[in-house]
Amino acid sequence: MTGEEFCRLLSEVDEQYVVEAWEPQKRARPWVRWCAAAACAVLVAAASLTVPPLWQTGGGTTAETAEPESGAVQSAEAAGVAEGAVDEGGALAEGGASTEEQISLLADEKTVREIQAALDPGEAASWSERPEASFDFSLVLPLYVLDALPGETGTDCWWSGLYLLPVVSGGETCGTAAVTQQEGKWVVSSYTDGFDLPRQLAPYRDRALCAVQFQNLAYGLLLQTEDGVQTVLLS
Amino acid sequence: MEDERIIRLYWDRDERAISATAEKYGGYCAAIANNILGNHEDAEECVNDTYQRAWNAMPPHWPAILSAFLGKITRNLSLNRKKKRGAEKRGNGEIPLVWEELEEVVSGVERAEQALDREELAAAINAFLAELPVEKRRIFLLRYWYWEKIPEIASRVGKTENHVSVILSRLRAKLRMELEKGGFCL
Repeated sequence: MTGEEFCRLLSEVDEQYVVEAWEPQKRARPWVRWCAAAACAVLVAAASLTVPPLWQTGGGTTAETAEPESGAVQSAEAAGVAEGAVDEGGALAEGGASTEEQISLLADEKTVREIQAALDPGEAASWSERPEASFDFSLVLPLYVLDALPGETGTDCWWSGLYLLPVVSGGETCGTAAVTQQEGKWVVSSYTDGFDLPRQLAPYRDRALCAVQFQNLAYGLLLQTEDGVQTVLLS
Repeated sequence: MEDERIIRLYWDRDERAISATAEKYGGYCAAIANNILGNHEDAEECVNDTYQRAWNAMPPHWPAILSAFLGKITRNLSLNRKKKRGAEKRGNGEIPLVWEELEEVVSGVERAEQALDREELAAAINAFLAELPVEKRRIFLLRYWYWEKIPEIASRVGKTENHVSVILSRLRAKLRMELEKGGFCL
């Protein structure tokens, strides 16, 4: 059977479902919308307070959180990873701004609270396809993009605008969600099924500087080692 | 005007049935035809043909849900026209994305000897839809019944485009699995 034939066959589906699909969803009650609007306002205000230190360089330039691309040009320095500063072993050369001062492994409490308040809990179930799944807000990691493949020399690093957090079901981590702010709303941008963030992080917790995403979209960590800063791929 | 009154006009062979239908469901039918055909002129013709078909069908038919009845006629007429347009452009005509996506559910191979009980297959699809949460069912039908574009669906259901695409991809895989489990080799 071809896709076209199957498409025609779908004309035979229950008319109730056809009507249901087209009907607009019930609108939220006015007070719910007002609360949502208020939450958005709080988020925007909070973001303006929490994000600038990450992006500001000597000139004090600030990038918009909704447009992380715009921060990419100067973000390497901003994140303390100067251009060309990652050596062939994946370590960052010494000098430049202190990495620890600029990037962080964990999101600050305020941001976590904002995400927790604004993120639809149903998204965890929807993305993971586990009805009882929920987000674990005890481990929220800002995600930085590293301009390199795992094991390669990186030249640039910047904040992705995303936060990683585990999705738990039945007391166990079943995957990891990447959340971001879109048009003032916190939404799940992607979900990696089976990626156990707490377990992956545990062996490196004491020396992890921040979570990174490599060019091939794999997740990893920047680690502080005796030889300098190195990357590690999380499988 | 209430649906029952509109249907009654058809049954009474009162031509006001057409204007009443156009007024209440013209936009709905036009949206379906536009989604499928992507061409306003063709869509308009399909909508007008829909009224004609409805006029011919009632009586003896008394639709349980008038909107779905009209939508189904529009959909089928639009698909026919889409196929005709595709045949005219054979050689450089591209396969619509919706058909392409649905080929993940079926083999994609035309088999003349394939003896399929369409009613049983439709029942299996209905059973699959019945098991889905409302939101996923809506997303599936908005895409594959109404031919809505992903960004429009995302906006309707309040999800990101990426999320809608992921949901659709999973639903296609799940539907294929369910149909295979039910003994349908498509």
